[in-house]
Amino acid sequence: MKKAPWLLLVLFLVVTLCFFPVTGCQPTEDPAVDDDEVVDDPNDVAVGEDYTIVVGLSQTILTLDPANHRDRVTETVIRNMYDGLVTRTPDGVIVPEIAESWDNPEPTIWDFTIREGVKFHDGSDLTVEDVKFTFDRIIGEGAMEGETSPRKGLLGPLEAVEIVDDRTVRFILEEPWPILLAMLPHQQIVSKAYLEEVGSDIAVQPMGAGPFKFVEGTIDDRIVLERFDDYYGGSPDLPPVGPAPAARVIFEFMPEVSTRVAALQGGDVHIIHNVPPDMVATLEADPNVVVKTVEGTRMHMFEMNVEMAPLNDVRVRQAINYAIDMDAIVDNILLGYGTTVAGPLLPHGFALNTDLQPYGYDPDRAIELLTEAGYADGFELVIDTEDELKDVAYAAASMLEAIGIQASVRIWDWGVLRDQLLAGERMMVFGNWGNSTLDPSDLLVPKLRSNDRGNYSQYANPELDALLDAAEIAVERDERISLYYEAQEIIYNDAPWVFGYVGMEIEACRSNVTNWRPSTDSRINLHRVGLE
Amino acid sequence: MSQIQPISPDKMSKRDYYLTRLRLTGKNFKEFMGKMSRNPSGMFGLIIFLFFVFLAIAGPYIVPKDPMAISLTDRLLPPFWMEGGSREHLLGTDQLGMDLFSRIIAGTRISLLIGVLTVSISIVIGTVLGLLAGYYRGILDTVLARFADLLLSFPWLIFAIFTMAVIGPGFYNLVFALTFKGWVGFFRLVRGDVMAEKTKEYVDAAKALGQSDLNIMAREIMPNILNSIIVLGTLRMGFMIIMEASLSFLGLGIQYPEPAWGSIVNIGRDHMLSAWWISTFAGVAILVLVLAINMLGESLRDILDPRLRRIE
Repeated sequence: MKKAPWLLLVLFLVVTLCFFPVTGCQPTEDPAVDDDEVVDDPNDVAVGEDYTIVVGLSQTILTLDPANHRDRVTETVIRNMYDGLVTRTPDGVIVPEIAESWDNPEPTIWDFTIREGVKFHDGSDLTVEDVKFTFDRIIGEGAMEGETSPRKGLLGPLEAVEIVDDRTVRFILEEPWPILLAMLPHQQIVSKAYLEEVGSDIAVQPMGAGPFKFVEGTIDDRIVLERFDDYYGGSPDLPPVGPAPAARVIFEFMPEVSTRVAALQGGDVHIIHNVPPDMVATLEADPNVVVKTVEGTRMHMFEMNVEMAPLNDVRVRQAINYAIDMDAIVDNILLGYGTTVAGPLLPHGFALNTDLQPYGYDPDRAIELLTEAGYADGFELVIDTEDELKDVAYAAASMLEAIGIQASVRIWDWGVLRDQLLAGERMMVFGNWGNSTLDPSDLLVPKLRSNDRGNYSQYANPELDALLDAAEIAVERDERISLYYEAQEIIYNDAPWVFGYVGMEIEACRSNVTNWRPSTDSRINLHRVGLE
Repeated sequence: MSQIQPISPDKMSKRDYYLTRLRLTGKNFKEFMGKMSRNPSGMFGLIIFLFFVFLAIAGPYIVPKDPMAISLTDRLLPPFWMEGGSREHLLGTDQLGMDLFSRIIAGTRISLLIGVLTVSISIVIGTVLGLLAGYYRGILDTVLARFADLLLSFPWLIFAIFTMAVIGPGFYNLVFALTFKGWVGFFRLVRGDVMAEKTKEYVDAAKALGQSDLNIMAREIMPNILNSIIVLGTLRMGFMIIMEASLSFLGLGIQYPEPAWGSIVNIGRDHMLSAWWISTFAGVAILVLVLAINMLGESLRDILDPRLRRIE
């Protein structure tokens, strides 16, 4: 018996080890917050008017200020408190929201008519002043307490917003920008008066005109919202219109996949997102859970630093494209929940050049090309990626090893890696880029135009730049298509990327959740979601 | 072994001296094994430990598969006794189709090597510094003892995480991070023992005979404190293995896909609900090895140095 303490200690250590969070980002449950909570267990809430919907999110969020982030999950939470001029249906179609209608009298001028009777959570009316203020705050250099909004890039050539009359605002562009409408759902309208009063405290005390108002919570703990009874109703194109059915919404942060899935199965949360394909079978076997998928809009690709030897040789880059069996990756790691792409665009996106055929898996051709380029004995290659994507990176590394390239994988924290990527200090990165507009402009310009904000491959091709710039301001649909066709061909042949895949958005909910389905842009809009 | 006969090369030929030492060692060893055999938990620990040592040495020759071979078509296969499992992969595969049985065997080498390396380096540094500090005292002792106290005031894991975060992951960095604080325990033990032993008559006698300080430390005092060092070393080894696993689990130690138990547990975490076997078997391996080492250390303590029971 005297050995028992030791045994217990070792057992304890191993058990602790098994359940230790991988980083410090696990949300800590503060018992004090739980005690204050009126509704502790969502299952205890009577079904009907007063139910609470709990959403399990895969990461903590960055802020509650709609203008101060570039993060989809953060936007998901914010978007339930704030509305935009326009919004998107789950299928990605643009429909009016706060703007009732719009007009595009000239390629560089857009007039938006603001809906009447839209109220902020504090009871004040939403006016054209607020709209102008919102956009001035985003596009102005240093307009946010001396800082420039990280969302400025999402508004492209927007130069100024002017008030035409008390129901119309005019957006003036430096040059034509056909994707303005498609980009507008990402901007949410704030109250001028409120912001001037609270300043940067908007990041902890948000106040918008969306279906839910902020109650309490912090960005690393949980966010609690409640129904805004004076809500104008939301987009008439997304019925039903009116105040939200749910009295209360709670966003819980659950970075651990297992925690998220177990919480859903246990009934502690109603909706989860970022379900890994491996979990789908487990969830589908549960009668209380429904798995829902939708075509995603995140392009996953390996970006190769075209400035760095030996990746500066196009033959080497093509060889790597031939060597990685993307179909096998999608079939086995994504279990088919994804689509491979031949070139740089989404398979269901605008202006997809269907003439391009995937490089395909051809290790012999790869070795041939490597030999031609003088790297028959391979070379050392480090693939950088983040933890969530590591499986694909390891699989690719093992495929590259098969053709003699000494490939290894390094896992990074994205914030650290990003700066090094932009500085061209890394060789190859596996990541993804959101393209929720489904328009090439939103993907090719930031990723492949010389020195643009997401150009991790350091690709700089004047010919491509000219095509992309021309397509940015081209108004005719056919003209844009032909410009992008040519651009895709150049990118395909130069292969600055290993063309990858687009994964499906896999989300899951309790079977009693009504009127909810995942969106292509991975947003979780709870306005119309109910429970039965 | 606590009562070593004073023998000295002065009174006999070199050959006789070493023969006597050998005989004494042999006798002590026999006596030790006699005590050990009456200590079942110690024997159990020793046998398991030796088994793991065997795995660590023979590992690369006996693993059925390459522990780092990725096979996408064999992902997340269950262990052989479950439906869908096969004898190809006795303990199943992880999410990249790597054979878990082979990985766990290959991981033995890393775990044990880290344990042995960190403990032996710690012993060497700690003992030398402890001998010097305890024997000479003075300013050297003050400086070293304060520095040791300083290091002791940091919690182990946090200190190791910090060190690894600064110097980056990797095998030798891991050894460095663990040794950086690891020597302190031995330093304090040796220093205390030396201060106690120094006041004993045999040290005075050696001094009177005109032996050098080095001789006194190495030949007179060391044999009397060696037992405590061995015991502490064994116990520390289990701890170091846990530390290695913890750091690898956190992604700071040995990097996946290198087969280290801690990183295997970590990788399996995402698949806990659908593929429990990944984390479980690696966790069991850590459990069994550390348990065996601790049982062994515990009985070594009982046999060699009952005093330590109060200290640890």
